[in-house]
Amino acid sequence: MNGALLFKEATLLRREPFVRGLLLVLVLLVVAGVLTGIQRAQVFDKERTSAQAIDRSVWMNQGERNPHSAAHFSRYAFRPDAALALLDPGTTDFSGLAIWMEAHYQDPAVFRRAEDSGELSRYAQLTPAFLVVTVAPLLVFLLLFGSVSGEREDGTLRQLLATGVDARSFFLAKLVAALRVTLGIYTLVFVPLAALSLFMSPASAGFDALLRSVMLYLNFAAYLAIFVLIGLGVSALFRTRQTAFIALVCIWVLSTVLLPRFATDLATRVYPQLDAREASTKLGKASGVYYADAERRDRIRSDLLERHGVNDVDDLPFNYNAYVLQVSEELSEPEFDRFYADLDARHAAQESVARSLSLLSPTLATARLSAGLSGTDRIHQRAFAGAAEAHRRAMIKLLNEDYMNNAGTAGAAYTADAELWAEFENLAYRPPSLGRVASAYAWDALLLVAWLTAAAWAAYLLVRRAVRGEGSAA
Amino acid sequence: MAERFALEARGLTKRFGDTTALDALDLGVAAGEVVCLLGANGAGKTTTINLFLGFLQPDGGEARVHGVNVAEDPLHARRQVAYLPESVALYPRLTGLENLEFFDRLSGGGHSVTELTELLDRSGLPTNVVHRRTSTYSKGMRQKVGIAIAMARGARCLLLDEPLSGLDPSAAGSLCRSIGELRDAGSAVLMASHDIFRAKEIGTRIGIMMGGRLVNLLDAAALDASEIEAIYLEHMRVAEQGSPERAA
Repeated sequence: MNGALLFKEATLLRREPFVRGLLLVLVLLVVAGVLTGIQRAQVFDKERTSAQAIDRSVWMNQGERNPHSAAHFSRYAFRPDAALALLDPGTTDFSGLAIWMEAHYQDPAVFRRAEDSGELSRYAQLTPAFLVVTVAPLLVFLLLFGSVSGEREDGTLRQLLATGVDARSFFLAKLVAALRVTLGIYTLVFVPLAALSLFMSPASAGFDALLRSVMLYLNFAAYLAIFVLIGLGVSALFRTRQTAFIALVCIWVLSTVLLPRFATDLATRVYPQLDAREASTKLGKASGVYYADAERRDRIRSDLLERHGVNDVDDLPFNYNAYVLQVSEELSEPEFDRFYADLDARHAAQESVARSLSLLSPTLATARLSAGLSGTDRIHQRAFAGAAEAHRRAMIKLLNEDYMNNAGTAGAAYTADAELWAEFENLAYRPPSLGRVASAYAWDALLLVAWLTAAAWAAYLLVRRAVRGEGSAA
Repeated sequence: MAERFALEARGLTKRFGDTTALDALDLGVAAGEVVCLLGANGAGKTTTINLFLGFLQPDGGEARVHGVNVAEDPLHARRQVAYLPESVALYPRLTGLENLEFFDRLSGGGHSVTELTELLDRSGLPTNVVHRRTSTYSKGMRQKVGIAIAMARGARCLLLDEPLSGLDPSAAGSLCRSIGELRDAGSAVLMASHDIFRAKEIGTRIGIMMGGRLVNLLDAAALDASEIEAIYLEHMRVAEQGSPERAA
């Protein structure tokens, strides 16, 4: 590494008129983003705590009633905020905060904040992830568009080459100085934000949240390094600042604004979203699978009577109606599993379409990694839905078995009380650790590494070409 | 065996398409000598400088800097020369002193700030502008920083490509004195110029170039400026008479 070149580059970047303006813009955006993030987290937390308390209170105070009636009375499972949701809320606003846990039915998540927000609110989400993924590349390009093109335009590159500077030293000095400034500012912004995020997260998040924040830091650092390399390479491609600037702004618009939008549109065109009415019909069918097949119902009944050596359901040692309710639940479960697995596969297929477009821009891979590492993407939402469903099945089984075993001759008139209701605990959900879901992000991480390698190689070749071309253009 | 010339061209030839920009140049510049190349635009002066810098690849012959074949090892050759173009390009957001410091560090000079300030003073740069950003400098000031860079590098060979062009008489005179200092300190200087009188003032020998060829190499001490001018104009007249346009 040539120390003189590096020192010069660092001094020039420091004195770049853009830098102070960019810093100011960045700080303002980050402050605005953090304030809205904190406000969002506080509102979420308040709403959730309040709703959870009301839900618990209503459940416990429902009085004496038949357990199956209580199963329909039902409860909510609330999703806690992900530890790093402040950095990247991901799909939080769109995927629902709670799941209604009732008998016979596996409901989708409800209470989507996006439904309560204005149309324009999606444009005002200045989250730290949005700033890094969408805004920071533009700032990097504004910093670097004249890096090599300016040297060519001013003639200083020729002056440098006349002293015996080689292309490799020139490239490395430019790169290291640009990375120092870019990653230095990024680190100064990210570390306090990550610390704040970890501070606001539940203590149970612990080491996993720390590991996730380190990986998130590396994800964004690699992403910014890619744009530094693109900035250098494109700057080396052109002889004037003006053309390099225009080219870089076009690249920014295409890669960070248009392509992600196009990827989303293409994915939903290739794999359309499930129509709400169709989804409702399928869930209804899954719920009523026991009642839809009379022959099976009779077979289940006769098998049961035979197993217990009795001729009438009234002679069974438990309540037959409660038994049927539980059998019905268990027959519906694989149907629900199949429905949600299909739905998940559809979403995964949509993501794979978007992933294939990551070959054209690193933005999609970084955005997916960001939401994944922050615990706010589809995979984490699915994990919550899975935990809520397991909780629902266990609780419904508890209620059905109580009804089955304790109803006696009272039958449908049997009632339970708060002692049973107390056994239906709140869902204590713990998100999956990074280790458990890491494999889902391997392809995106690999793509990012490939982008970094390709961008480094291309930038070096373009700078070398510019250096050699400067000699022959003399 | 000690080399005879610090800068040496042997049969050095460069073509651009059908045009021969430099035709079999044989020229040597010894230490403590200033060879000025005079000629009209397109005579091959700048091409010669660029070939010595390794910015161009020769189509024939070779250029050597202290025995190093420039085409084979341009980086090694460049590290032994100081180059002053018609308009010295400096980093506008650095001061004059910082520019000098940078180029000094780049070539491993390691001069102190006091020494570098003295060099700027010797090159004729006013003391009160040393700490000003070079974006505010006139062309003459930039050329003086360029000379200071050449001095700081301590290069034994100087390649000057019309360094006096566009300078006022005072600045040109100051620059010539600095070039003379470098010559007297033992540097070999090859300078392209349009200015016969300045060439006579600092040159040891004066080469006249026409259409890519070195047509005459004069001893500057043996002739006065008007004689050099007369010889130069005669070459121009002969060249014009022999040109296809004139023949037509």
